[in-house]
Amino acid sequence: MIRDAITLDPQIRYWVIAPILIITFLFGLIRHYLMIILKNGPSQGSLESVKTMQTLRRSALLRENGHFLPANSFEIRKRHLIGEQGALTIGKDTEGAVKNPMQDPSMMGDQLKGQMTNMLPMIVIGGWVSYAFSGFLAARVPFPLTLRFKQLMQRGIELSSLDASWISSMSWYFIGAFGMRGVYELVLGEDNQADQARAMQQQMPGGVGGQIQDEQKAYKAEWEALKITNYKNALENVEKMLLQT
Amino acid sequence: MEGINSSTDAAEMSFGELRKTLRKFRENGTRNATVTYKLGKYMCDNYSSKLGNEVWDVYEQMFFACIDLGINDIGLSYLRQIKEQFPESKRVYRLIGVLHEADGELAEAEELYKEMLEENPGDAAMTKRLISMYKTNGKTVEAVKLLVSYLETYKCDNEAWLELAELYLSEYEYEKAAYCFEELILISPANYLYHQRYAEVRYTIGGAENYLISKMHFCQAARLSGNSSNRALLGLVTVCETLRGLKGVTTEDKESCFKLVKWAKEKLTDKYEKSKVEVSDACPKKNSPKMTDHIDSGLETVCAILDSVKL
Amino acid sequence: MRDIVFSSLALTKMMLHSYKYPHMPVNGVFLMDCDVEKEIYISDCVPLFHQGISLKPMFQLAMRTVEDYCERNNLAIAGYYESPDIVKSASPSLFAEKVGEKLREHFKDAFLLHNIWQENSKFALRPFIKESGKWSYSANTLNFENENVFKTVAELQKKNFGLELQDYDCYLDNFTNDWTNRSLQEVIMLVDAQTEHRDQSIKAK
Repeated sequence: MIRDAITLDPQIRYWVIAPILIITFLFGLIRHYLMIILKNGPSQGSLESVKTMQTLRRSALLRENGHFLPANSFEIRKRHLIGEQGALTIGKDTEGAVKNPMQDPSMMGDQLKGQMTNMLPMIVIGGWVSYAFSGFLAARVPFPLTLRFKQLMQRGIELSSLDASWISSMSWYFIGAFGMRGVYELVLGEDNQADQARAMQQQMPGGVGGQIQDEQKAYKAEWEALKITNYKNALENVEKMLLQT
Repeated sequence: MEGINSSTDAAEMSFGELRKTLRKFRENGTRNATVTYKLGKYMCDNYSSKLGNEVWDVYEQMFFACIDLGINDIGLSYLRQIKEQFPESKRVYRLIGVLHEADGELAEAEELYKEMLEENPGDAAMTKRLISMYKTNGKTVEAVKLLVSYLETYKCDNEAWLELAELYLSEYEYEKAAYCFEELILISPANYLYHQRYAEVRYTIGGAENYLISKMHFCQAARLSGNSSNRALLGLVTVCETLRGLKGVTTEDKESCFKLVKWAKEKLTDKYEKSKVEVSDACPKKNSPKMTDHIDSGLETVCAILDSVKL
Repeated sequence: MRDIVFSSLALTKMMLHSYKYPHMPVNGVFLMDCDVEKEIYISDCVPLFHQGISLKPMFQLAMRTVEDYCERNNLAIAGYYESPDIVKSASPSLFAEKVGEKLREHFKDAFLLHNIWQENSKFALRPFIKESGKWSYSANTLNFENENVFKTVAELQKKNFGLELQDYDCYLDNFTNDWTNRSLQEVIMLVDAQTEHRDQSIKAK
């Protein structure tokens, strides 16, 4: 494999690496402020969905931490949730309307805005980078990579014998876009909208506002999980442990 | 922010320092009315243009400071300005409610909160204001009812469960208070204070079973606090000594109580020794010598000194 | 029943306790000087708690500590006070009555003091004694040794000395806090002497 035999033109530093980085950073900033302007405000689910989430959360807490309670208290709460009239029982037996994100207009609007501000710049800049900076190597990553990465990192360079560590400008752009998170955190503070990785996460359905798509399924899952949870006194040996300190 | 107290002179601070201090107060929810009022007033009088949009947050802080200091009419002037800027804001209506309460117009406040809640039943902040108002007026039953219904929805709100527990305790509903503390333990099992309080409530209810539960939770509280919580250690001693003297407790349990008492007393003695404070044994009695007996001639001087001293 | 006379120190400490925690219920006990025979002389007050008032374990502990202290100094617990944060009734709470009963087992003239906050940040002191099986309000029970006690409290509040008061709760948080408040006691006596002196000079003019 050819390693050190390749020397890159130092001009690449000034005309490729730096500009791509600066542009990525600037666009990230623009995206952040744009999101603030366009933001709908915290999407508050309806009272019912809040109640659902909190019930499910409480059931999970009971499964996890209920062992710190006296046995009787645990059993009462368990019965209260999965008994005949229990909240989880009712929830799992109710044929609820599946919240289709396509049908909820405000959520649609939010998602669309998010998608626009995130994907559009990426597409635009990606296109511009591949147009303006294609056909040559931009940099080399300092660690060896396997051949699989060649396909990803060396778009536009059809050299099968080239070491996978060499990457194209397009890869550099992606590395910059996703890796800028630390820089954005310094500049914009935590919880900024410029973070690409976070943007990807937020596009998953149901991620924004924490709304659950299929409540019935969630209730069923929680019901079953709680049913098989048996009480075990977590504080059984606390005295022994204490006496040892 | 060290050294910021009621004798701080706002004029000596720069605009940046003033703004930073007030921001810190807002972030931490500090309600130091005297200092806030002093600093805020100076800032608004001299730097209001520099503040930009932050001025509304500062006005809100000033409003609360005025309410706390009892100068409601000045608070009203701030509220008016905020209302002009944000006429339809729910936050503003909440402030109006607070002003009603401060002016003693409780019926108006109650009506306002109820109206806002009818429009937005999920408004947690408004619900909490109404609950707080019921509490202040001694309407404990209504406060409890509203709090319970709030908790039907927001099941994992620590603050609310704690508030409900306190309300139940004030009504001597110990079992219900115990339930609340159990919820708090479910939400934050690593918080030793919840275990401690729960143990105290169980002890108060009484009975061998409750004492045993109380013992377990005092142990857990002691453990979680790294054996540093005095109340957990003392509570442990108290409950163990009670159990040892009780019928219907197994020998095994009594044995373990004995060991725990010994262990806890060791830890406590250690702490007592480290905190020993020299206190004179002479306690106040009827025939204790009066100050006037001793320092008759020097009393004038003493009075003068006292006048100049202020903490 | 003998007259109950409150020393400045006892009342001042109680009032400072309430002022230090204006939005919380507080409670405490009054100590009687057993050397005095002709009247029930309340020489001192021990502020107890400002939270978890109706819980037993710490309260029992506090009472035992105070009882030990009393035995060493020939004092007795003669009364219990509470300043509830919420005005629910004009009479002592159930808990207070239970405490009163317990105190009466050792001292048959034990009394209760139920304080109610009023609008002007002052509070009304309401003494209760048990007569014919019921705790009833007894206005005559409140006798001050020194009429200037309210001026003393006002003066101490002005100078923020009240913040130095340590109740048993503070002691439980940190054993270095002195629940007998010896150092504050000296300040209270000084200010008391000052107000008395001022009063006398006004009267002399």
